[in-house]
This record gives sequence, C-alpha cells and structure tokens, in this order.
Amino acid sequence: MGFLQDVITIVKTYYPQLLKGVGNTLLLALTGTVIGLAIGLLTGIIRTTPFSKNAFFRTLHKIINAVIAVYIEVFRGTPMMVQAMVIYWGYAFATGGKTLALIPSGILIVSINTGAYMAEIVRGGIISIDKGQFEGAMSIGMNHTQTMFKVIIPQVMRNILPSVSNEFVINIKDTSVLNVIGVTELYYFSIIIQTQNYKTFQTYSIICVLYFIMTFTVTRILRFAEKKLDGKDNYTVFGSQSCPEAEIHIDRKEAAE
Amino acid sequence: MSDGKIIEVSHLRKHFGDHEVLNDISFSVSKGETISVIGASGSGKSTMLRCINLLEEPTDGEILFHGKNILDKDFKLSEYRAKVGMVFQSFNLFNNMTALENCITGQVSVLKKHRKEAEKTAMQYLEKVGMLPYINAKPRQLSGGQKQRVAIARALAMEPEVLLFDEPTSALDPQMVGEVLTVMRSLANEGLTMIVVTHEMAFARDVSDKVIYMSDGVICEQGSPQEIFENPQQEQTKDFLSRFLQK
Amino acid sequence: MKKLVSIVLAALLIFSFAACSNNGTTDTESQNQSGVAKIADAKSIADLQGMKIAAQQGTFHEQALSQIKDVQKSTYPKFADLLVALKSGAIDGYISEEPTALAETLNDSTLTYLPFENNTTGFTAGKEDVGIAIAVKKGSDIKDKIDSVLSEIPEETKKALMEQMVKLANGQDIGEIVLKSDAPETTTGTLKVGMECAYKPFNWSETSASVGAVPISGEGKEGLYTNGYDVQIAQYVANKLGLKLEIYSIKWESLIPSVNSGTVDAVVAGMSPTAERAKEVDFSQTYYESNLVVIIKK
Repeated sequence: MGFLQDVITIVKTYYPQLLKGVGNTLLLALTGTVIGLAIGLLTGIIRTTPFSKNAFFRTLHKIINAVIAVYIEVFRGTPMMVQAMVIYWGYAFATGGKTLALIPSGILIVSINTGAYMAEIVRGGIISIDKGQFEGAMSIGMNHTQTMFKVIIPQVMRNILPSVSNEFVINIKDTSVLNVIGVTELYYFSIIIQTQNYKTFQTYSIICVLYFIMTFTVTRILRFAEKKLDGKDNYTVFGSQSCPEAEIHIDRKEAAE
Repeated sequence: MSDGKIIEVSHLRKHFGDHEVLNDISFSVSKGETISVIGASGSGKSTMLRCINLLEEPTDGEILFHGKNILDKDFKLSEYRAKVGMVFQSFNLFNNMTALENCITGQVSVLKKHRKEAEKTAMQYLEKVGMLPYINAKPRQLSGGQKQRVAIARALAMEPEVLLFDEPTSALDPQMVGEVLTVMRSLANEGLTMIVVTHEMAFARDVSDKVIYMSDGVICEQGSPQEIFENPQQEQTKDFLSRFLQK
Repeated sequence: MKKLVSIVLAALLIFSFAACSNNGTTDTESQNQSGVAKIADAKSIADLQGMKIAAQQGTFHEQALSQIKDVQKSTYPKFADLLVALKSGAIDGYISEEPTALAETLNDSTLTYLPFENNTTGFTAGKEDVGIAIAVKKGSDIKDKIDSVLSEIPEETKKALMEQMVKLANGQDIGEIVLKSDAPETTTGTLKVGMECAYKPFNWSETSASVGAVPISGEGKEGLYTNGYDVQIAQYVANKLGLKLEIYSIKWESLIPSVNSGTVDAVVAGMSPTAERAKEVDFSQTYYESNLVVIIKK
C-alpha cells in the first residue's frame, strides 16, 4: 500500500499548506461569486430598464449599455488566466514596479470574470419573468425601481440559483489558474508540494479529492437552499384539524379599529 | 369640471403599427357607477381598459381623471395608478410573496403607510374576499378563484377610487367563477366605482349601471342594462346578444 | 441492459489502455535496433539515434535537442512534465543541466543520467546557452556592482556550492555552506530578487527552512522558504552590496516582465543569457556553467 502511505505522509506533512490553500480557494471563489452576482444584478437591471423619455438620460443609458456589452464580450471571451496576467503585470508596468496585493487582485479578477457571465444569466432571468408581474406591480402604482427590488429580483434570484451554483463550482475550480500570478490557492501549494517530494500522482490525487469535497459541499448546500426557498407545493389552511398548531389568532378589536 | 364624473374618455384612439385597435372611444364614469364593457374577443375592450390605466399608451385622444388629462407630461402617473386599481385575467399576483404580502407591499411602497397599518387594511380586505385563512399562502399554492380573490383584495387594499376588471373570470374553471362574481357583486352594491370588461352577461345585466357594447374598436352602443339587453338599437348588438344568450 | 453496456465500456477502456502501452514498448524496441542496444550504453549524443528524447519547450534544451540526429523529438511546457513523461514511458530520456540531473538521480534511485560533456561528447553549447547569469533591467547601474561581486567567487567554490545544493535538495545534511558572507551591520536598501522557487537545485520552495534558506516574500507566502544555488548566490550578492535580500517567487514566463516593470531588481533564476533575452534585459557575467546531460531510467 505504498500509495496510501504516501498520501498519508503528504497530508501529515503539508496539512497547514493544504488547509491554507483550501481556505484561500474558498475565499476567492465565494467572494468572487458574490461580487460577480452583484455586478450581474446591477448590469442586468440597467440593461432591462426601459429607456427614459428624457433625451439626456436616454443617451446616457445607451452609452452605459454599450459599455456593459463591451465588458461582457471582452471578459467572457478571454481566458481568466490571461486576464490575470494582463491585469497583474499591466499594473506593475504602469506603476513602475508596484504590484497589486495578490488575494484582492485574485478576487477582483474572479469577480469581473464571473460578473460578465452573471450579467447574461441575470438578464435572462429578468426577461423570463412573466410580463404580468410587471403589470401587476404597475397597476398598484409601483415605479420601476420598486417593482424590480420587491417583485422581480426576488423571483429572478430563485430562478437563477442553479446557474449561480454552477458559477460557484466553476470558480472553485478555475481559481487554480491564479497560480500564474502567485496567488496562494490550493493549486499553488500542490505545485510546491509536488516539486518538493516528486510524488506527482499522490499529491494531485489529494488535491483532486479536496477540490471535489469543496464543489460537492457547495452544490449540496445550494440545492438545499433551493428547496427551502420553494417551500411546499400545497398549503395547509390555518386552524385545520390536521395541523392545529398552525392556527393564527387575529385580534378582532385591533383589526376593526 | 364635471359633475361627479371621475373618468372621462374622449376620442381615444390606439394603433399597434398599422393596426387600428381603438377608434374614437368616448364615455364617462361617474362616482359609484358600475360599467360593464361587453363585446366579442378582439373588439378592443381589454386594450381600452389598459389604456385607462396607461399599461398601453393611447395614440390619440384624452383621458380625464377628475378633469385632469392623465396623458399630460407632468401628470403623476404613480399616484394615479394607486387610485385606479386593476384586476387582471391572469391574476398577476406577485409569485414571491404570500397573499398577505401581496396586499401590503403596494400600501407600504406607494402609499408610504406604516407596515402595521397596511397589515390591518390588508387583513380587512382579505377577510372581505373570504381569503383570511390563506394569508400566508404563496400564489402557487392557491386555486385560480382564490388567486383572483387575493388579486381583488390587493387592488382594494390600495383603497382606489376606481377599480378596473379585465375579464376577471375568463381564466377560471366554471365552479370558481361564482366565488369571484359574488365578491364583485358585493363590491358593486357597496358603491365602488368599477369598469368591468366581461363575458358574464348575467353579471353585466344584473349588476351594472351602464353597459358598453364594443365591436371592432368602436363603441357600438351604450346605455342602461335594460336598454342594451332588452331593447338594443344596433343590428350588431342584437346579433351579439342573441348568440350569447342562446348559449 | 445498463450493466451490459458498462461491462462493454469497461472492457473497451482496459483494451485501449493495453493497446497504448503495447505500442509504447514495441516502438522503443524497434527503434533501439538502429542506435545502441540500450540507451544507458550511449557514450555520446550520436548514440541516441532513434530514441525518444524530450526537452523543455522554449529553452536552449529544445535547440540542443535538434543537434541529435534521427531522434524522436518531443517537447513539454514544464520541466516537471518531463520527469512524469519519462516515468510513464512516453519518452526514453530528456535533456537537463547536470546539476538538475544530479539532484533528480539522487532523489530517485530508478533514474540515472548520461554524463555528456559540452562540446566534446555532448551538445555544442556556448556560455550564453549553458551558463547562467543574473538578469537586471536594461541600463541598470546595479549590473556592474553585481559583476564585481560575482568575479570574487572562485570556480572551485561554485562547484562545491553546487554539490552541496544538490545534496541539500535531496534532504541530505551538508553542514556549513561553502559560500560564506556576513550579513551587513546596516543595510542601505533592499535587493528584490525574482526566481521560480521551483527549479532544483538552483531554487526550490520548502515548508520548513533548511540551512541557509530564505523566506519567500510577498502576500500569503508566510511559512514558505526557498533555498538553492541561486538563493545562495543572491544572498552573497546582497550581503556584499550591503542590501537586505527579499526573494519573490515568480513564474518562469513572468520573470523578465517582473524585472522590466521594476517589480524586482534582479532575476537570479538559473537563467541563461541567450541573445533573445539579452535584447530585453542586461545580464551579469555567468555565475555557473553546466554540462547538458540526458536523464534516463536505469
């Protein structure tokens, strides 16, 4: 059982590095996905907002839309590893040798990359919401912003949750490319461990399992969240005999006032 | 200014591209009146109703609300919509909210009421439509009739001056039509001003103060229920009614 | 039905694996007939005919590879890949500098290397090809200072230091490091040095400090150390110049950009002063020259 022994030895020797790598990978993927989602929501809302009648705002809106379109195409159309190199070394050249802090620049790169995907996911989510939801909100006098935040976005969030979870999983795996600029995520440490012990297969097997544990846990948690959000398919009427504890008490006096 | 007239529509026209949907529509609604709009499908009834709430923008004409043109640029649309409620064929309840939340959110965000107060009003109207046991149900847990009753409660909770009904029973199973019509009947009796686009001839005949018959984007005939149903003047109206009443 | 399909698929998979490995051996056997019987018997690079030899992409090794006649050439992007390829049987041997070869063969008893000597039995190579030098930004005045420090180190010390570093890379005890220098009492600044920290025995990373190791600078690198021939040279230069040494771990392809952008002051990374690189950066004199050898399986 040479393989197992090697694996145990590697884990015992390098667990601080492995743990740090897992921590940093999760940090990058989580914050990157959350900020990316925020970018996606913002751009999605901007792009689905009807044009204003005011000529100035209409022009401004069109310019912003064009900028967003360019952003999406550029960052969706180029590899994250290349973006990391361009941003990191571009900054170093522009500032005469200053370097960006690694974890923040890692988060920045993952965020803007994820944001480009999320922008399309959110836009799709908004478009797919029934027009009746907008009309229902308009009919009681809600303005576009109120409609968006109270009615549309909550529904969009539920609908895009599977895609968001997908992006999260992709981010956990893809942060590995940030080793090119020296971000100390899990894959960075795997290279260090591997060059120290020459046990390529054993080292990467451990790394493989660690990545899988991370992605599997995240997908399970988000699936659970989806189920929680959906609630039950049927509704138990309050005060029904099968569910007496569900009874509510309305203060008649207060209601009549 | 008009004597007790809440809404006056005059020479309203609406085009979708080359297609003329509404042509020279004029009528008025007085306080406390229930007006039924009847006519074949595609006659422009729904479009007219949606124009009144500005869900569709009229191509031409005037819609006066208490004498003020709602098509004016400086008209406060949001306030107007809060005063003119609407009930849709497809309910359009907010899917992410419970029945109670549906009735509260507009009061809080548009009328700027306190939550407690809004909740009290919401409960009051949900009770009126008989939906009190379902206040915490999400729309997808409710039947069509129940959804429509919540939708009516949502509109009422805004305490509108006028309530527009866009074929409120057309998407319902026959056994659920009754529960919604009962609610609408009681509202009419309480003196709420309503414009109802409907295929329910019995409702139009028994409940409304005025009936408008539309055909091909124009108002063919309008008058009291007796005039329209018992003594229609136009050939088209006679045709339409005879076909409908035979059923 | 599902079971049947999965059995068939599994069988196909096993069969294809078997087919692949068979191909590998038959190829080697048939090719060996044209050169020497066994690769281990090769006395010069001419004896490598027909073998499958690999080199790291984009290095002088790749050019050296083309000096061998009638050889099955392949290249790999990373140096570490070559070892994996050799072990898996995909190649018969790969070109390496002698120090690296020493380190790897010490570490792995199944490996050995063919000790060719440059320009006689081995590859034709000049100083700019197999020598290694320190890279600095073009026009930087630090180059002359570095040169004067480097010229003080005797050749024997370099050889001895390399032997020590090879042993150290293999986890052996080496006692005191032969290249001695005292840390200056007061430093007048820092010398930021870039290297891969992944190129034994020139520079490597470790999670606990060996004798003479230097901590890696930079965010998130706490608890990581680097050591090796380059590290010792860099430490020596910094001490002699009265500067505090900071070592940054930087990917190979980013080393020249890092010195050009000013992120680091010098690259001490076992880098050969090739003509192409010399267009981008200035090089010091060479601080080691090594034979090119071929690492093989025993």
